[in-house]
Amino acid sequence: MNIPLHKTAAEMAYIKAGARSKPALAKAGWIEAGREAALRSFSAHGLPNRRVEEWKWTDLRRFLSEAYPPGLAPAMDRRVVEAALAPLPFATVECRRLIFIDGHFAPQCSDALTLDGVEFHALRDVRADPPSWAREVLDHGFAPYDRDVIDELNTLFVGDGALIRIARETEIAPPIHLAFVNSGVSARSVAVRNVVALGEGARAAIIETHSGREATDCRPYLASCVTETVLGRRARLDHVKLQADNHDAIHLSNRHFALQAESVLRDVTLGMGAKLARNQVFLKYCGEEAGADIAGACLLNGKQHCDTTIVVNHDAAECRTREVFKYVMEDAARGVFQGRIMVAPHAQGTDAKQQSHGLLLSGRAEFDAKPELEIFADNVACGHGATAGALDEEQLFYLHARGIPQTQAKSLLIAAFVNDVFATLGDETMRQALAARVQGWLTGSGDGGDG
Amino acid sequence: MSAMLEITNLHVEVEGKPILKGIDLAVKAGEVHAIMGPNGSGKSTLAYVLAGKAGYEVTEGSIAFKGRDLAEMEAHERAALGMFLALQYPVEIPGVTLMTLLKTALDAQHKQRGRDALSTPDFIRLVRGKAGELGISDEMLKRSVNVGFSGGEKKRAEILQMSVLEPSLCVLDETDSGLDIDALKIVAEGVNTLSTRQRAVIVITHYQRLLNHIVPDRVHVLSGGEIARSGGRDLALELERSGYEIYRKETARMKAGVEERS
Repeated sequence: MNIPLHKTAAEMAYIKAGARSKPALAKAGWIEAGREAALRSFSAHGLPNRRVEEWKWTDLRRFLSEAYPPGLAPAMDRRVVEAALAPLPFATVECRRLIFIDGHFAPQCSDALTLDGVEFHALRDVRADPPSWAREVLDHGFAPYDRDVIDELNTLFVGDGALIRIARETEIAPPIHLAFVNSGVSARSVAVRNVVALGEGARAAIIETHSGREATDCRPYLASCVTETVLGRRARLDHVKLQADNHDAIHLSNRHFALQAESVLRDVTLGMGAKLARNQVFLKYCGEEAGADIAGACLLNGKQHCDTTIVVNHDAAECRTREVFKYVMEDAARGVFQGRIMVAPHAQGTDAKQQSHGLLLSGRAEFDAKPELEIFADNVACGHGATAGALDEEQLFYLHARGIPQTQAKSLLIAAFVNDVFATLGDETMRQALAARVQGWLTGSGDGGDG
Repeated sequence: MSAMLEITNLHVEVEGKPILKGIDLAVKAGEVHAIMGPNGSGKSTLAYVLAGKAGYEVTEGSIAFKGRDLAEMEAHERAALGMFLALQYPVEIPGVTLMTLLKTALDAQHKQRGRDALSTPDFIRLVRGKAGELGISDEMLKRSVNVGFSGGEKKRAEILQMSVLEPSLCVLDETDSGLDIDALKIVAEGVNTLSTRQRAVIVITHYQRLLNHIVPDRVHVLSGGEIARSGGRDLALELERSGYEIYRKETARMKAGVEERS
């Protein structure tokens, strides 16, 4: 681990702010030990730079050259709420909503507080004494590395979050929409911490969206979101994440998953916002015959930088992993995919496949992919494939010769390349909503398009 | 009446290499022309240059289609003007269904011609009707274009696109290659249905077998980038008996002659 001799001004500012940040979650006794540890570790190591292997393509220290002061809870008056909700993604998809404005729960516009079979708490309401099921998850965590800087920063500055528990053998419909809306105008850092726990045999769909206004008076912000998800035996979770943060924002995300036996996760991420996005997924199989489809698409232009880092730990036998990630990069955008699959000696019968594909629409765009398979069991089927390339000239000519103009032909091919990653989702409306966002991006309306 | 397609002294280079060396060809509405010739004679190049593929550079001569000079027109504009090329090797497009391709192409052409798009129900009725005649199932319409299609299915899908788009000039590049006799008949019937007094067809083929089903008015033998001979339908039958050897020799002799003189 690299320990810089000199700390940057931003690092010093975070350390100071971290030491001062107790009031953010007053009386949060349960988190104090974690916060002390995070502050010690962050003070010692600071922000990772490109000499740290896991961050070699995403130099966080360079991106975070300025410190974003911890954001204050917004006033939540009618004007703030209305402004925040105007561009709410997936407004047309039927779901129950839990809305967070600038990292703080907004009960007045949320309608998923009292669903049968769902226990929900805003983290700030139970900060003195979270329910034991949430505390158990929050206290243990399951990061695979000695330290993780996103977990650390989040722990230092966390203000609120969603604690969701789905009762055993319960099916929740329609989906629960966790909407993180960033509508403030000042430079700020926003940190939310969520826990999602599905009991044995529970079934649910969760939509998670991150959006930010693009108005000219909006200053850049740093949003960090850490979610710990536990799937009990035979539980099934469909999870869709849309990251459409402001184009000057920094989005840091950690999602930890623990899957018990025979549980099934289908996870799809569409990333299109932020100047820097780092999406980390840490998944561990804790019981046999569980499975996870983890898919994602990134649509990047300008100087956007999007990094997906996934570590899947096969710590139980007969589990199945499918990873498919597709990146579309225009201009000088850069896509990074790092996928590690670890197979423990006792994880016999593991079936894991990983694919990452980059579509480069400009000579200045860059795609970096690092597949890593660490296999210690002998009876496994593991594979990976990574490609990077431009649009196929023969396909373009074919469409062109049928009367389809060049830009439209390109859009058709790009949409076909991307939309394939949504195929694992069972819900047709959700697939269409995601495809509509892709179409919006292609036609240049960017994040405006709602689906 | 002036010809629908008027090719005059056409010279074409691909990657700096001359392929077509002075083609003259006039095709009128209602006519079926066959272009035959040995491999490497420039048949596919002629097809691509008509459709407007990048990399096929006209260095001399001209192509006029419906009175318009094609030189400055992009491929999609030529298509909207009524040009259709059925490819020898139809391209696979994963993620784009045949139905989507048909709808997008038809709408794009209508838009360029200033016409309103068909409503979705009208469009589906149109496609189902034409697909049925070609033995193309609903299931196939929902599959990605040419992905996992057999050779015959690919060619039938090309003819379906042609019959939905209703072009004025149909250029069929080796549409018979890789087809069994039943598939060949279906394809030929599809073309014959389209072949009306308002339309013209150019059939590019190595063998005369397809010409038993699509009967040409004129047959041209392309060799070494030039039209070595033109004639009626009988020429195709003659080629069937004698092969292309004689034209290869002729071309070689002509080339030698040119070199001697220069």
